[in-house]
Amino acid sequence: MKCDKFIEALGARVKILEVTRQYEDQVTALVGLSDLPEAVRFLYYDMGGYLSTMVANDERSINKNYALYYALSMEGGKMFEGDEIAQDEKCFVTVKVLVSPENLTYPSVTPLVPACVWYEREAYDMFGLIADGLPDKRRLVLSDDWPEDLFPLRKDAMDYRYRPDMKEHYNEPEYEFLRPEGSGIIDVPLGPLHVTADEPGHFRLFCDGDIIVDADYRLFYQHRGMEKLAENRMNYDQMGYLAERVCGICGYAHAIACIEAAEKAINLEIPARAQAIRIICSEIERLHSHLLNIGLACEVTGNYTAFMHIFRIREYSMKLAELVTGGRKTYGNVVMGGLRRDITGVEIKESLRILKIIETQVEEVWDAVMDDKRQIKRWKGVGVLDKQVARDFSAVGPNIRGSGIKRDTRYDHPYDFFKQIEFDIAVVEGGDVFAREMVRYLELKSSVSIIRQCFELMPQTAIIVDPTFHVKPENFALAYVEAPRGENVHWIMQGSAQKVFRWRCRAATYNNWPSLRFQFRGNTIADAALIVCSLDPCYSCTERVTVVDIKSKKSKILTNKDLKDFSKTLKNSPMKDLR
Amino acid sequence: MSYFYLFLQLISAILVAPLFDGIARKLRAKYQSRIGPSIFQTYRDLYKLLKRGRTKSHSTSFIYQIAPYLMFATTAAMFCALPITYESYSIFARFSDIFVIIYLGALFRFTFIISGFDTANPFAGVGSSREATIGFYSEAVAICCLIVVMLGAGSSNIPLIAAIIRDGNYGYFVPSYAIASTAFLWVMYVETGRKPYDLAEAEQELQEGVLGEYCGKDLAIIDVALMLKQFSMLGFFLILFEPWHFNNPILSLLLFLAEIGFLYVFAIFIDNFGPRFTMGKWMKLTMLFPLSIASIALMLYIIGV
Repeated sequence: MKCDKFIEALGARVKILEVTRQYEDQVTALVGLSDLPEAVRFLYYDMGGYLSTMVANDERSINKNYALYYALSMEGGKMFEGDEIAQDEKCFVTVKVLVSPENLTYPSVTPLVPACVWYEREAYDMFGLIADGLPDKRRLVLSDDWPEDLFPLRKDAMDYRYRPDMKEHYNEPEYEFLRPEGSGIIDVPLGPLHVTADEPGHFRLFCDGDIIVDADYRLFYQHRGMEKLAENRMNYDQMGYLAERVCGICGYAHAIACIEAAEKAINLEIPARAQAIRIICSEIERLHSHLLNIGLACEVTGNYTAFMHIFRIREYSMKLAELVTGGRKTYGNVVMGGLRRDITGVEIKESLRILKIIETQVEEVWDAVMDDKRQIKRWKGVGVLDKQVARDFSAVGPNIRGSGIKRDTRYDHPYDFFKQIEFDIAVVEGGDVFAREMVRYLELKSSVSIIRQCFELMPQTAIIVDPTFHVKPENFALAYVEAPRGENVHWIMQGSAQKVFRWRCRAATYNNWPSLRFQFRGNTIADAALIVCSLDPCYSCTERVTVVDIKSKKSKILTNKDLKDFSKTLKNSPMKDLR
Repeated sequence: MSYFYLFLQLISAILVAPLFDGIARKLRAKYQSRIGPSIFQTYRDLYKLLKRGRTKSHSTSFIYQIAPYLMFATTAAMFCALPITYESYSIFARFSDIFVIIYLGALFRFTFIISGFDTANPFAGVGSSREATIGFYSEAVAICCLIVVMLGAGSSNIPLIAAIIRDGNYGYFVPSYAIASTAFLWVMYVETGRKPYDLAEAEQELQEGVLGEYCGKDLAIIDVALMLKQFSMLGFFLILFEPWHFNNPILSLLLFLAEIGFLYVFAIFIDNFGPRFTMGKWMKLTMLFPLSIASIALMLYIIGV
């Protein structure tokens, strides 16, 4: 069986207490608390693993302990030619430890494996689990004025409707940025609203003259608590839709990752046609996401003409999505066991025609952009992600493939229909913005070819299996999807009564943020926005605005529609009934 | 009467500038496969901004408040110093001097920079220091070219220089003058602050990095001032190097506005394609070209051709 080799090697190193298998390529090994750092380090560096996700879980109702799951994708270090595990041996190995609720501490893995830093910070925010030896113990996810002793994801912590009192904005504690030593260093805040993406994220750049010496950032200004929401009241069919709303761009990847995690936990195989259509939809999503990012990389440098032309092409990819799913952006067709909507032959024919348009036009515009030496000079040598840094922090997606590491979930752990499709993995050396945009361009081309192959090989089966199944409580599984920004990993532990016990959704960008500060270093302020953009960051956005009148201290929630109406007509001011 | 014409010169420029801006936007949109806004959109934008109130952050001082008016007054004076509707015998002629325009330009830049610093917005601060750096690059080139013209024509009085050129005593048959005109046009384009010479370091919108904190009425006034500055800079080139002219002040005003409009609109062929320059890499490199052209002109003048 897969994974046995790694478990054997791990067993020779540390004492394994228990081994459980979740799926054919997923194994969990329970180790003792003191062995944890060594076990993760051994799998990560010696056996060639990448950290896919780390899940903290409140299992006091199951085994009277908290549990930590470090899920590693065993695929080889990929630092040089041949440093890769054979294709049929790639798998996921999860290291599990139990943390007792009395002392709540566990030894931190971060000093040995830097990729764990954000996960361990989040484990404190959500569960109050303290990583002993973690170099950076600041809050990550929750706001700075969150009550000290309230850990929202603990099962007994709080009702999901509960909102702790907000502090007055002038009483809010200041977030401490990690400031580098030295004199003459100027802070330049980029945010809290990012200047070009118009999304919430505070980047503090520490500059010596023009050059960025170091950077630190505070994100999660709009954490929406979706994991808590899903745990409490959603069934599996609803969760697919909730997961799709995690992101405004790559939501579909989240939807299938979430549903497939649940499907894997009960070993449910979905029909081939549904698999193919899921692949088509996620590749369409890749088309429009990459077009968006290449367009923005032009726009941030001031090349509006290229930006507009790329967005014109992007419109075709939205049209394609409309043909295949009925929706331009949020497709909403994933349910447990398959899909809700099939496509007809006419739609396939029309889709192939649009695909041809996209293919030729992308090539034309890209050639034009590449002819512009000034544009290439703005991209080359900027925001370099060193190969070793990428390895240490388990970066994903075009970010790591631009640094010359061939890491793609579609290739490492082929899921769904990808087993039957041939495609190229775009890997570009260099690690700069240019390399990342080049990866995206090459992926656009391979996406077009994947979609075409799917349409041609379209199996004639049903699109959904009978969704009567029995969910077994305490079963868990990982599901992984290569979203446009990289690997999305969802981890689901099932609970009773068709509800989830714990849902851990790890978006691609989560693994890319921690290495960003290394990309900033040594660049000029002029390129800061470009570097952030080339990462293709995905902030979570909400569509609601809160209006607060400072004088009367009253607040009111405006919906998107109210705000738009007011902006158009200037009537019915939302401020009126506040005074 | 001459006051009336001077007034007309300024008012017509203010009234017509948004139209040319609108045409440039429309044309730019065409090249970006967009329909684009109507050519009167800039008027609407200004009207909308003028209706809005102003905001002011706690860290600002009186500089922030007076800067828009100061900028507008400076650019208005700069535009009035261009002898379009008056000749060398008019009473304003003695104010219309190359040095007056240079110093008004410097005053404008100074106001612009301190208004950015005054807001304590880090991006405005960065933008301001960039604006100052652009000044270092462009002013040296401009002065080199102007020295050639001033010494060649024997005066720093603009109406006088224009008259000498029109009479045919000085002009493109003098190589140093002809070469200086190339560098001067280049540097005047840089002074208009359009891409690729706007501020990559600041906000994504051209000079708005410096103006990040301004809004409403203040922003509208600054927008008009910036447009007037662009007109003055292009006009400065036209007056010195293309002094076409009618005897009727109204006709020469119309001709002049048409020329400026032509330059203003067709500059989109430069600013619409390609990314903007960063200060470190490209700004330095590309400003070397006009500097060397200007130096050649100066050398040619010194050796007497």
